[in-house]
Amino acid sequence: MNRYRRWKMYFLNYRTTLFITLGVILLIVLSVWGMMSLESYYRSITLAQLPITLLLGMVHALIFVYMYMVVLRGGMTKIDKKSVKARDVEVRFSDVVGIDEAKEECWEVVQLIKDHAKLKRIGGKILRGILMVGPPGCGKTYLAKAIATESGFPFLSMAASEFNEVFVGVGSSRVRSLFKKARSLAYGFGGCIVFIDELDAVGHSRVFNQFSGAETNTTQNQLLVEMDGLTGKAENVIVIGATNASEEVLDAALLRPGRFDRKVYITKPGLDAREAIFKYYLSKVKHEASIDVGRLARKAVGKTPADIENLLKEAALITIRNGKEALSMKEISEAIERIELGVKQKIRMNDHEKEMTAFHETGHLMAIYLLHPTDDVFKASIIPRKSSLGVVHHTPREELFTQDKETILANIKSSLAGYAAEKFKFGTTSNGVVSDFQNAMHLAHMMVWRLGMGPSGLVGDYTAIPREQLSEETKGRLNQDTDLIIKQCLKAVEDLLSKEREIFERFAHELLTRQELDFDEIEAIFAEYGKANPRIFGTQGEKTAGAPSPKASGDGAPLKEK
Amino acid sequence: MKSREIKNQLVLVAFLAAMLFVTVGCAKTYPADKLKDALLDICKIEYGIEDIDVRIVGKTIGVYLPLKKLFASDFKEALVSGKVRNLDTLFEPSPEALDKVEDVLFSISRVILSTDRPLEFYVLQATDIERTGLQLVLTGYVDDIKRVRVWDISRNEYRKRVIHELRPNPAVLWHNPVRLFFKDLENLPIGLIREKYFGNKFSETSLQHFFFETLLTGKPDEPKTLWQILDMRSTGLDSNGAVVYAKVKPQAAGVELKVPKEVELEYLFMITIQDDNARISRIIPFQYQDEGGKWNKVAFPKELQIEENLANWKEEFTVDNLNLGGFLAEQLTRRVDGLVAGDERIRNTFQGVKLSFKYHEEAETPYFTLNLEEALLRDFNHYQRGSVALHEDMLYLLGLASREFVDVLRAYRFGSFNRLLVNIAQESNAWNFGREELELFRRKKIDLQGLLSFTNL
Repeated sequence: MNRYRRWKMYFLNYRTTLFITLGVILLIVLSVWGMMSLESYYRSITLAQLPITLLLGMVHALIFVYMYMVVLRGGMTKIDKKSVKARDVEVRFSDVVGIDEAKEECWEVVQLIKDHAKLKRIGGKILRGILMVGPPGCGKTYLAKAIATESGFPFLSMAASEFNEVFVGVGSSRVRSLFKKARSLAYGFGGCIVFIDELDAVGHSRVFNQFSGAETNTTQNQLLVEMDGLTGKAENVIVIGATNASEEVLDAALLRPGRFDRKVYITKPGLDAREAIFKYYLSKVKHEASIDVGRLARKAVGKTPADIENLLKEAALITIRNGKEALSMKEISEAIERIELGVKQKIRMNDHEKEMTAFHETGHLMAIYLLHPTDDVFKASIIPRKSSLGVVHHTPREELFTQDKETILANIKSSLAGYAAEKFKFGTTSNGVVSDFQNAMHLAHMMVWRLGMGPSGLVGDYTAIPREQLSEETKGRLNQDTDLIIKQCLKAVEDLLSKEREIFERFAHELLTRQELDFDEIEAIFAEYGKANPRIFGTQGEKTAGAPSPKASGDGAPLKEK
Repeated sequence: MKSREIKNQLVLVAFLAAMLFVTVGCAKTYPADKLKDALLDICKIEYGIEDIDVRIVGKTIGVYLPLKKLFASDFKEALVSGKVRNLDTLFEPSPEALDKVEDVLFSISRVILSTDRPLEFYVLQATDIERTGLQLVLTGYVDDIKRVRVWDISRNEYRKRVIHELRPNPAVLWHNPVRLFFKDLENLPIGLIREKYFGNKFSETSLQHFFFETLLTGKPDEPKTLWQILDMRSTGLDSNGAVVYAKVKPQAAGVELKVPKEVELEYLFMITIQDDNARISRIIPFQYQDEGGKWNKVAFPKELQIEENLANWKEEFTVDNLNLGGFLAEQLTRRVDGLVAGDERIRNTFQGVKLSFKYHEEAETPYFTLNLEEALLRDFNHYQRGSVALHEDMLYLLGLASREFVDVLRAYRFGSFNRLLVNIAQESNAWNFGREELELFRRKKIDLQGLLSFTNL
């Protein structure tokens, strides 16, 4: 029985080899048989053709391999990764600005990598991996480069998507190759950093069914094994993973200690950080001293370091185009416009359209300036951009992470202001209100159905309950509440416009004349009428505008477009 | 899989591959000693052609294919019908004959390409044995078969390289009644034999005693005697007839023959031709059995030198040991004939052209001759223009033949000659072109005038 089992085991273990060997023997026997059945002349001809046949076979094989590797982007297990020497990376920690907390954590990691011998002496375990989580453009790769430079170890960088291939097994094979190389470098240099960008491409939770995920699973399994598996001698290989995806998306096995032990959360920079970033990038270009970095930082709410770098790059290009030597505020503003609002388009509107657009945008402008608790208007324009004929660009004065009821109501009012302005001025409205209404209705609906902010006192997230389980009465009340909010907001805006008719007409006139109004110009005009910025001079602003009390809350930087 | 296992498997594969080469590459399919039998077997088993004969002389293999009807039309009937406009149509082989010729040719090519006997030439002699005695002789070079099979030469070029000849072979017509005679001895009773061949001049007993002791008596269950023809050759006579020599050996199963086993009977048959039919008019045995049962030789007059002359008598099937030079000379003759026939200028300027190439191997230094045996210019006046050899049309003809000569010899890489001697019938002297000059001519370094400048008539 045992012998039978052993034979069976050998058969199962070596069946592929066995079948291939038998197949080869069979083919050779058949070849000999076939050749023997030929007359000697034909045998001689066949044998004479053998060298050219072999040569052609090799050429065909080479063509196939070439096609596979180059044309089909196969590449098999080969990874064309050359290690980058630390001194060639040349990104210092001092170059990483705006993400100080992340920097601190990483600095600690660098020290651990450098002193791993010391760490081992006292019995500590080598750090296996660092996971950097954060939105795109916040400097994850940059930070990884800085780690490589500071640690002085070779740096292998690879996008996780490079592991993925149409052929199953190639991904895991590439992981093996990558770690083999990393271990070899670590052996030679005392350590190696492997940076895997967009880790979620292979690191998302594995799927254990027969229909999908086979390749990703095997790739990820291999990654797990390489990071903390039954591999040979442990070398000082640190894996830095970067992902935009949230941690929940990643497989739990990847996140456990021993794999990505350290998690570094990188967020969008705050006001101070943005200032620092502006300063850092401005220091690399010629610029006028008059540039107000603080103001720029305030304007660039929600911008990542990459956005800021791009913005200044764009400004530098505009400077060159304008034939100037140094970058000024004007170029930066132009760059912001170009990036945020889009390139101006040469659409010729008729006078009526232009007038209607001007009053529509003035409505938005007035409502935001006078009623919004958090947002400042940075620009109002009736020059067509992208798909809109006009725009009022507003952003919160400071970084806000929540929105209160008043802010949401102010957003609804701002959205409805375009409609109210058209109706107020012309007694009719245009189809330019579509997106405004969509935004307003969405917000009102959310307030009532999900946030418990409806006037009738219904509290709770009613979208969590299936619609058919809600009573008609409840649904009716909720819808009535939504309607009421819209109506109240519209009434508030209409009241504002009728009350501030003079300012309203003035702004519309200015827009029609100048096409565009900047923050300073807007502030100045309001100042003419004694309307100080309510967000700066709170009570005065409140009294002046009769708007709800502004609070320190905001909603990011929605773009109000006609 | 470990590298050691891979290595072991590679060794196994290499070993088996080597076996493939060793076992497959060495042996020839048709060894020299079995070549003839192999060809006979292939023709018999695969194509149902039984009565071929194969002879190998030196580096030439000859195959004799007797056919009852080689040509599609009956000459006499066709001529009498008056429908024949072109005599060439009379010599078109019948489809059945062509099939057999192709089958045998293919069989020949198979065995000669896969034998260890160094053969260079093959000759197929397809003979019309019953009606005309004409035979279609195809002579080819073995290397040409190889080259055409590997597309080294075109099929059209291959056809030009095979020599097609139509030759008379009267011996087959003379031998026919003798063959029939021995066939009758096997099948007919003695009475009928006596009546058919001897006009009842001899008694049955004397026929049996003197000539053919195994003649059938017509008794039931009488064992059959087979007459194996060992040799047959003939010579024509001045009168309308021929003498056929036949050497035979009677064989009978289950009967003790009076003829000792070692004795081979020989006869001379006098053949007369009457009304296009050959018939036996007289039979002369070389041996007789005396009253004591002893076999004695007939004493022919010495001056007849029967045995000495027999060697020169014609056989139905003879094979010459060909050489490449001779083969090329024959091929060139036919090639140039074809060129001349198709050349409009020559047709317009010559009354007739007859030329031939010959290869002289026996000379101390082998050489070729081109004999312009008949090259009659239409507008040539001997007395006004001097030498016919220098006439522009003659030079054109000569240029054509010389160009073909050098090209063909180059195609065969033939170098066993040192000159080409051009004989013109009307001229007493000959041109002598050296091999080096001919090579220059081939490479178009010199033209015909240049070639002529190296020689004098």
